[in-house]
Amino acid sequence: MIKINQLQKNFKDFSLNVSLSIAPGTVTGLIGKNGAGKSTTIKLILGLLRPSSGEITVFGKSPCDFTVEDRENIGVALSDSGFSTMFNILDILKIMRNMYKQFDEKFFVDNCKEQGLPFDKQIKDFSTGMKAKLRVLTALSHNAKLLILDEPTAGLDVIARNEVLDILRNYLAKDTERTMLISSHISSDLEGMCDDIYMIDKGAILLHEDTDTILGQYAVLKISDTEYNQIDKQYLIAIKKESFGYSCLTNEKQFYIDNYPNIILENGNIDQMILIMLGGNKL
Amino acid sequence: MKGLILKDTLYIVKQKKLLAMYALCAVMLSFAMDSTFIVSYFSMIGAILVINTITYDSFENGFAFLMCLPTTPKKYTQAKYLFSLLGISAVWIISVILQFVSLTIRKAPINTFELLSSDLICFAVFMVICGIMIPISLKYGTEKGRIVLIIVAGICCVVVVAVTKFLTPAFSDDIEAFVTKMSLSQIMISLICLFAGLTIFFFSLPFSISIMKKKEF
Repeated sequence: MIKINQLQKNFKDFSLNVSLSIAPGTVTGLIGKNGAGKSTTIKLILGLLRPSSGEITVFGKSPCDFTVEDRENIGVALSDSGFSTMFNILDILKIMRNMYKQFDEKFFVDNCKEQGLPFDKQIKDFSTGMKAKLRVLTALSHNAKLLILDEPTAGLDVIARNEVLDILRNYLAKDTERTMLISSHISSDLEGMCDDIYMIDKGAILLHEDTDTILGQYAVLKISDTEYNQIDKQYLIAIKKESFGYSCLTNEKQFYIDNYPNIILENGNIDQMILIMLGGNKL
Repeated sequence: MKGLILKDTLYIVKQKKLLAMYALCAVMLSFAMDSTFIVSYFSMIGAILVINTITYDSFENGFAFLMCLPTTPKKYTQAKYLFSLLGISAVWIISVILQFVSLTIRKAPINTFELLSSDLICFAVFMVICGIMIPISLKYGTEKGRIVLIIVAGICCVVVVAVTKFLTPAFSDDIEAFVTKMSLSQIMISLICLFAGLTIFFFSLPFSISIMKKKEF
C-alpha cells in the first residue's frame, strides 16, 4: 500500500532519511518523540511536501500524481490542520457531502452524536478533545482504503484519548482489510492497535518490529555494573547507564531467562524501548 | 470543485454581521453619493471577500488539510478562479440593480448605456485586481501579498504617470483619430475593457496553478 525507499527531505536544520513499507490490511504505528520526523514523513506520504530524493509510492503511484479518486481513498487526520474553525459540523456536513462520492453521512452524524459533538457550535469553540474527535471522524467517514492519522491523540487527557482510540478500534474491527498508518509519541496508543511499529528519531528509522514481537520477546534487564561485565551481550540491542548499573534492552528475553535466572528482567513495552533506545546507546 | 466553491461560499455567509454592515453602507451611500460609486464600492467589497477566502484557507495551516481532500492543486486553483468570477459577477449584478433603483427613487435622469459602460469598466478593473491578487496571495499569503500588491500598484502608477506625461501627448491625436475612425461607441470601449479584464484574469490562472503545484504545506 505504501512503499518508501531511501526517502530524503532536507530542511535548513533537519534532515529526514527513511525507508518503510506498509502492506494492505495492516495497522502500522510510527512512534518517536516530538520533532523526530513523524509529521514530515506523513506529509511526504500525502504529497504535502516534496522529497529531496528517494521514492514514495502510495497505491503504486507517487503522491505528486494523486488524482481526485486517489485522494478519496485516503482518510486523513492531521495534528495541526483541519477544516476552518469558522465552520460548525453542519457546515462540514455540507462540504463533505459535496466533496466525497462515498461520504457515509449516517456514520458521521451518528458518531458525532454519540461523541456529544454539538452540530451548531463553531469549531473554534470546541474543546481540544472535541476537535480531535471531529478530525478523526472526518477521516473515517468516507470509506477510505487507507487511513493516515498524525498524532490523533496529541494534547488529550486520558479519557478523551481512550474515546478517540475506541472510535479507531471500532472502525478497524468492522473491516479487517483496512490499512492504517498512525503516528504518536504515546506508546500505549499504539501497543493495543498496531500490527507493527516503526520507531523514528532525528529523522531516521531506529527500529521496525511487529508489536507482538516487542511485547513477547523484548525485555529490559536491570543489572549492576558487575552483572553487566559478566553477561553475554550478543542479544542486547541498547543500553542505558543508570544509578544502579545498567538498563539493557534485549530482543531475546528467553535467552536471559534461561541463562541468567537471577537477573531482574521486565517484560518489554514500547515506552521502555523508547527510553533506552533514545536515551541510551545503541549496540 | 463543487465542495470547494461551497466552502468558499460558507466562509462569506458566516460573516453575516460584516455583510449586513457592508449592505447598510451601500444602501446609504447609494442615496448620498454618485450613482457609479455604489457599483465600484460593491465590486471592491466583493473582491476583498473573495481574496480573503485564501486567508481563511491558509489560516491555522488549513492548506495542508485542504490538499488532502479529494482535489488537486490545479482543481483547487480553478475552483478559486471560478468562485471569484461568480462572486464578483453576483455582487456586480446586485450593485447595478441597486444603482438603477436608487436613481429611479431619486428621480434622476438615467442614461442606461452610459451607466452600463462605466459599470462594465468597473467590473473589468476588479477582475484585473483579482487576477493579480490571487496568484500573489497564493504565493506570499494574504498579509505579505498586500505588501507585494502595494509594490505592484506603485510600479503601475509610475508606468501610468510616465505614459500620461511622455507618451499620451505625443500620440493623443492618433488615439482620438483612431477612436473616431473606428466609430467606437462608449459601450464598445467598455466591452473591449471587459474583454481585456477577463483576459488578464484568466491569463493569471496558469501562473496560480503553477504556484500551487510548487507550494509545500
